[in-house]
Amino acid sequence: MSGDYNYERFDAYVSSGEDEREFGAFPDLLHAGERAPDGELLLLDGERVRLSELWRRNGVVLEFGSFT
Amino acid sequence: MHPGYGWYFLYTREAHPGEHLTAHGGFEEKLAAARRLRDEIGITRPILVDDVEGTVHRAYGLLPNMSWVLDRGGTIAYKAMWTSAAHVGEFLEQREAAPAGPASSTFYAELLAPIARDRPAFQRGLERNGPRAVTEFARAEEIWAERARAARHSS
Repeated sequence: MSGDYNYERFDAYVSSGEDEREFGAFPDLLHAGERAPDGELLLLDGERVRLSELWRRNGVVLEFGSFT
Repeated sequence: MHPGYGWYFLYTREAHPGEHLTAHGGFEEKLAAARRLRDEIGITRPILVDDVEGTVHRAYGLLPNMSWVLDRGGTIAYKAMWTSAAHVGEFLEQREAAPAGPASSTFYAELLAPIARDRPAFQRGLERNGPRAVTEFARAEEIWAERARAARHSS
């Protein structure tokens, strides 16, 4: 499972059609006004935090990304 | 800048693995890559690292550069397929400028937002990741062009 998620080759990932499926599904997944999914993350060089702990006192901007 | 909101960078899988930056083989590798991202790119926002299976990334749709704004309490206020920091910033300013109480409310909206493409900067990013990242992206562009041709023929 994690092997699929952490693909090694971008061209193979695209030729599998996975990119089309993910971009195509996005508009129907979760909407403004709905509850955000909770989850646990590691604050880099800090502690583990749940998103629900972050949004308890303040709003949260989540910008997803990697090196590119 | 936006006192009511904490702005986080959520580190996902590597979108364009290459010789100098491979796909994450485990959580320690992912953590090391996140530290490199902070130190080499100079990301000053706090970085949240997802687990190696991408559990949170998956829950939010797996796109490589999306942005979400979650209101206090965890209600989704903004959902975008791509990140425009300027667009998110304007949205937060509007939210923060709205008067409290019955004088203001919210409405549901959808839009196609414009975004500038900085292709040279993206290309430099691919090159930093390694020659393989460059050639694999070029191959992906051929696949996308082929798909676009097929879609034109079938319509």
